[in-house]
Amino acid sequence: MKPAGRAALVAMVLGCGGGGTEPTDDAEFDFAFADPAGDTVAATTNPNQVRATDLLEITGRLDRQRLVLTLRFANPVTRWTDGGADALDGFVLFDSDTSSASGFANPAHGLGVDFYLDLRDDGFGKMAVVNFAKRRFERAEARFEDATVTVTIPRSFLTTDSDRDSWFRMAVDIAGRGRRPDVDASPTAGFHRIEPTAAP
Amino acid sequence: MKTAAALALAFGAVAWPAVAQRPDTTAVDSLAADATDISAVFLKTYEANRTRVPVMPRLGRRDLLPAMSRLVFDRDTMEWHNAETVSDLLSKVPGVFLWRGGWIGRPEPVNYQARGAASVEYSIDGVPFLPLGPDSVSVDPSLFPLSFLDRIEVERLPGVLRVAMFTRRHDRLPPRTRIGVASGDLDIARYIVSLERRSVGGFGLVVAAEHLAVPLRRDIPGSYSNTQAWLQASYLPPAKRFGASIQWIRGGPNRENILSTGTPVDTLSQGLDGTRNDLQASVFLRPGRHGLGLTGSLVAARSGWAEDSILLTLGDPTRHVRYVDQSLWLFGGRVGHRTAVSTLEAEVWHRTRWTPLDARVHLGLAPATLLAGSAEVGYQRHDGGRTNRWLTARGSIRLPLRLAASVAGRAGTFVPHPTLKAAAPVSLTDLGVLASFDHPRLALEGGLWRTAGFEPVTFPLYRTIDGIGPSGTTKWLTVSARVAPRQWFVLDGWYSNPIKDRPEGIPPTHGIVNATIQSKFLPTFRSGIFGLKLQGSMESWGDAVIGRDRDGEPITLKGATMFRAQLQIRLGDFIAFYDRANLQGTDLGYLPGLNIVRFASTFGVRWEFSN
Repeated sequence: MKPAGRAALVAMVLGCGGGGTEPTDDAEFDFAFADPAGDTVAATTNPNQVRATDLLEITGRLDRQRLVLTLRFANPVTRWTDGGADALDGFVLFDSDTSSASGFANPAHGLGVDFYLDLRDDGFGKMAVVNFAKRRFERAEARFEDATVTVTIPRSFLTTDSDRDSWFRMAVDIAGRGRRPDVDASPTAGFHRIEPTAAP
Repeated sequence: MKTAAALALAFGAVAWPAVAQRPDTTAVDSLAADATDISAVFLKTYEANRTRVPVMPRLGRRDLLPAMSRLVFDRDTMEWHNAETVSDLLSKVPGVFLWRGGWIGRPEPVNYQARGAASVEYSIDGVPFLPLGPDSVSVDPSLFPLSFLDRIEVERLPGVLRVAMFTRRHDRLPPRTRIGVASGDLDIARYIVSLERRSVGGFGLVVAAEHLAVPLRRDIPGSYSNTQAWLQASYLPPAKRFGASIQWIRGGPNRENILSTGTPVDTLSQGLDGTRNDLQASVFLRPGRHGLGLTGSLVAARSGWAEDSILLTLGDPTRHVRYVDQSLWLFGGRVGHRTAVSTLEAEVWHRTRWTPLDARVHLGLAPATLLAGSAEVGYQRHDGGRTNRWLTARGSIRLPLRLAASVAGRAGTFVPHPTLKAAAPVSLTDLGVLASFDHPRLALEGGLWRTAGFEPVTFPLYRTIDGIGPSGTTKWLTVSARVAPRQWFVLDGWYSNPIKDRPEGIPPTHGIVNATIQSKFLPTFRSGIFGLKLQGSMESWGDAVIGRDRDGEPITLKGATMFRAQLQIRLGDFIAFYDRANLQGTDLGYLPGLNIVRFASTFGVRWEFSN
């Protein structure tokens, strides 16, 4: 074997053996997606008489260490574990490999969901980021302030061995306690793109 | 090589008989006497068995309560009833309806007088047993290891039951061993083993385990297994009144989801896969002679539930993560003083979650043989500034002609489920009046109860029952009776019915009747070692609204009659039993869609002996 070949092999072995999930790029950018006010879905079932939680805006910042995601609503929201009628419920769906063929299919948004953030908190200021392929979850810090919720997700929670870039497809589904169907979706159809080129 | 092996074999064959033929030079009297003299061993054990050693006090037990305030299930009673679980025993309490998810291995939470998940408060050895895990508002008593317990006291209050469970106590020097094996339909298996030992110096040790597996066939969902363990070490010096103990009880239930067969598929009963650990350490001052005098105890306990959440999470059709890793510490102290006619007890608890302060004072009086009364004042402070404040009072009088009467009342503000942060205090005033006639051949008890309006929380394990509708003020009639026309034949049972109103979650006209034939065949087995028991049970109830679905629509429970039979043969402390449920093969169940396996049977043996 030629020296270059050996070096490549060593690099491959080290690369495989390392198993690291650090992002592969140094992209650092902000993103923002607006959601129309008053676009909530009428309830067909609402035994708890839950008021519709209207999502107005998704903003965030992605860097090498973390994804900071902020959801802003028309009205104040509280933690799910507080048990109130205005408790936040729903999911933020991430298609990290931008392929609808992997992960679990979400036809409403056309996503193959590889990770999702469960907006129901754990009672200790955290929310779960579920890795669908590995069937594991990690807990990310979540902060509730009046009508905004900010979640700080370490990048390692959103990367896999084969996919560590900064390109994501994303969608948000907001629900209500016992209320059917989901209250608000952003976007209503399709998905948002989080990618360096979208940086303002 | 082959030659060497053959030589070795030949040498061995020659040498072994040579050794065996060597004259036995060991004198008979050089052997330890108890290694050969079986009679001596027997006599030694017999003598040792006559000596009692101190045992752990039953911490948290209410010493003095008026008549008809509590039902006691001791070890003999547990063996006598056809109980496979603690829930089975609780079904002997008039007014209890078990939300059975099916047969053995399924959930069996208790609904008492339509209070839903707030129906029962549990404790083990005086430490509150709090709901933890995915079902954090109620305890499923089918998960308690019945073989670890030797006494269960059920304190009846209007609207709530307090179930105090006490682990086994061994009061003899020879070690006590208990083993049990049971099997049954669908390859179920139960294994029980325990070893209890006390020393002259006061040290005690218990090691016990119980494993139940209900694997079920592939076409029947909801397989179950649970391995439970109990370790206890204690120190009770014989001549002293103080003592200390530490114990650990572990349960590891693994129960599959039970899904509906229709479309869309729904989760009828939520699975369970985790481990519960309850650790408690206590130091205590035992009562003096005849159980009188000053008593006290300090307790530190930790309860925790942990599970492989994600397996359940992704099995959850909603995909929501269930945060079920819960644990808390409990620190408590008790002090009490008992005289022949009175008892005064006070206890304070601090819990590191949900309820930082729990304080209660209990006074019991029995100034005369015919009269007794008790009162309890309690205060609990929960997270969020919520509080429980209550007063409980009881009184009883024994009348001529074997008659007795009692009254009980409970009033105050309660947060039924402090684990729910949005749960607000509610004001309740519940009352009960009981009258009884007690004769060895005939015992009757009638009760009238009035429970305040309540908004019960459902049992979350049953996912299709999203809620239970609120009830208004409800009056209840309960009747229980025991008729023994012959010493060997006993009819007993109870009946409970809400008067006029129909609260949700509990069926009307609910009753259980047991017919038991029991004999020791004394003319044949004069030592009394033999016992035969044949029992048939019938439980029935009327149509009811058991709860509400996610759309708020009522869920109907069809009235049903269930039959069960048990045969038990006893030889000393050896028991063989055969238990058969759903004898008539009905497709109905205690909850819609969760029927009892037809003609389901279990059989097995239990044996307890002194080593």
